[in-house]
Amino acid sequence: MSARPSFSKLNYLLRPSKQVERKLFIETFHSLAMGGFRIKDYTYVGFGSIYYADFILFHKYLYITKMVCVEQAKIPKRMQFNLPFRFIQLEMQPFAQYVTRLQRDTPYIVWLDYDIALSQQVFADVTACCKVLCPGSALIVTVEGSGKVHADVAGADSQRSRDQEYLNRLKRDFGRYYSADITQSILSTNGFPKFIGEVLATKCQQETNARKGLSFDQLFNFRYADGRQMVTVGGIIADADVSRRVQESGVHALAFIERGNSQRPINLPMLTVRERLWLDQQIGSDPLDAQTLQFELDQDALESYRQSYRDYPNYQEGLF
Amino acid sequence: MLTRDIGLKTSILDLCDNAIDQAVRQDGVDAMGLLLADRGTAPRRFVNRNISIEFGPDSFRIRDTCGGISVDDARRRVFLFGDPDPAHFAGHGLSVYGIGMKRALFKIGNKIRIASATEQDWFELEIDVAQWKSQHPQDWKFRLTRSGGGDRPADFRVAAGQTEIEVTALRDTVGPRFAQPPFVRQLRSRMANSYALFLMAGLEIEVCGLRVASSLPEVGVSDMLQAARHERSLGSVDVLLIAGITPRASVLPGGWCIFCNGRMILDHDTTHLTGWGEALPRWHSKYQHFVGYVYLRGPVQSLPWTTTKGSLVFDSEVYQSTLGEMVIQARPILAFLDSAFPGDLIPETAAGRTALDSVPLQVSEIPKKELPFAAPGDLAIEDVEIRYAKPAADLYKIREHVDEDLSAAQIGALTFDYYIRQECE
Repeated sequence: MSARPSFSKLNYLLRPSKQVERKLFIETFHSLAMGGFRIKDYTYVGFGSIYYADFILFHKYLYITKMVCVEQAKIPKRMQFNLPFRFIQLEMQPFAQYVTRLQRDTPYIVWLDYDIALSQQVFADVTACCKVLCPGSALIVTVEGSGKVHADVAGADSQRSRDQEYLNRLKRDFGRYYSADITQSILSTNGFPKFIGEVLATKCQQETNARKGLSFDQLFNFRYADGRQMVTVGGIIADADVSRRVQESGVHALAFIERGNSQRPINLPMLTVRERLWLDQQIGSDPLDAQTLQFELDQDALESYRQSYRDYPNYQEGLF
Repeated sequence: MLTRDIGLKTSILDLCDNAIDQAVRQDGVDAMGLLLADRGTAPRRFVNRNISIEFGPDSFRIRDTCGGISVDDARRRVFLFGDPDPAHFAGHGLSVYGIGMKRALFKIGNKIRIASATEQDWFELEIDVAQWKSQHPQDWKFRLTRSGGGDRPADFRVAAGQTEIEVTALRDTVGPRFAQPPFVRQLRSRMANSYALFLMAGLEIEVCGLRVASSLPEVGVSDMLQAARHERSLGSVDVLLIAGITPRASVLPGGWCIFCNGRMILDHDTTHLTGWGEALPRWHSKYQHFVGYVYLRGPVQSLPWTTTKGSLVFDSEVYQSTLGEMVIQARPILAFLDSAFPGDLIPETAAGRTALDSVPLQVSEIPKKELPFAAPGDLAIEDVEIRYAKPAADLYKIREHVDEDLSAAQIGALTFDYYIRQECE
């Protein structure tokens, strides 16, 4: 009865912004490892889909070998066929079923990488993770974050009343996790991802804070669009000791870390291979000015590239 | 003021709590032990412990054989406001703050007579509440009317190990309620739930001549449905969680029931106290078959119960940790109910129907080990009946265009298939 899964519409390996996001996570965990967190001994739990892109990267660059892929689509043979490493434990069930099996004293990196909008069900999974994960574990949540009004809003016969009905739903379901009034402005292209980011972050903080002595040390608040607008919030479940070690690791100094409601967009300018190689050669010299480039590129795109050049994916056709 | 926040049935339960507390301490019974994993020793049982309650429009009487109250206990603990002996709260009893019995008696009536005897001594206390209240608060003490050691006087009707409390001059609102048959029935039912574990352990309770039978919580099980069971320790407090789905025929409401040291504190709660609308989704009719039972066992002062034992101290550390565990264990069950009863398109899926075709099993019969919730998976692709009204003129248009013999239902199917073919494939 469910909609077609997103992996059958998009090749996950060819989502450049998502790939950058994965690399930013890797950089973050490298930094935490420098602070004494034994990331390679963590257990990674994610929704790999048939591409297992995050599993491959996290194994190759974080050296993690304890991995659990939770998949609810009814494609067990396909998941098994595409399994990149034998040590990945495949769990063919919804995450809601798997969550009770998370160990109370094992450090995890859990990435709830949904391709759906924020809902009560997503909230419930996030809450359960905030309740079960031990200090030092990382929780990352990605949801769709476009403010388009769903066509199924009942009883609404005009765009205006559909918007109002949708806003009422948002107020009812998420209003208490948002610091400002929920008005039409949050449905804008920029407003909605920011709203979702704040709601998710507040939920993580609130549910974690309810556990004595624990807090949610937020590290990520991203938005990006490889087609659909997506929002990612993430951080570390921390007690006083973990908070101190996170602080001392220097991870907070990384340019893309967002500890509050500001949102960091991952925008990748579209560049030819030649343009990219030329720009890379200029890195390290004086800041580039769009006016002085040998080709047309606006200053914002130039700045976006400067921030993401190390993670910018390089796609080529290969014959295997 | 003291009695404002307590209901009449709760008051009577408070009096029972005191008697049971006494019996638990004397017999060393661990009621919750009946549900916990086998520790290698057979659980201890009550021996000849019974509580008998009788009431009518003019009087109330409770008698028990739970060990009796010693003169020393009466003077130093039972009839003071607040129990001065911290050691009393270190055990796994039911007496919480040492005010339950007094408050309960004041709620019922104005003339109170308490008689109790142990093997060593005996006492009688008569209280005229109006007269007692008229004294200066510094003189709010109770003086035993008569007491002694050894042999009891001939006119003292209470045997060793027994306590009898009689209340007359009932409060205006109390007498009429005692006369109502539904009140008796409701009280008996509440006791059956609240003291189910103690009744199972051999305690006998009678209300107005009728024995109260243990009513242990139930959860549905079948070849395809398994309840979740999880045990853990939070410092000195043991926590047992059992959660699942009730059978279709069950008349029980859904929600969480919470027990402290075997005594029910919350009865099928669906409010924010048990997480609904906050850490759990808002309560919804599709969750009506969700049931969760939480048993907490520990020293009296470590448990999160309020003085009335009718609610929980929400912010207590033990309860917040327990609530976290409730949220985790509820997650797969609520997710199953979300998918099994999606509501708008299909009111009940095949998986939902199968899940409700279960048989009830008492919580004491569930295997005493860690169990994850298990439910029927997707059983079949469902057909959904679609009903809608459209102008007849539009139907005639389609008929003229396709086939004049088509029925309205066939036109509906035809246009649906057309959309699927043109837009979705």
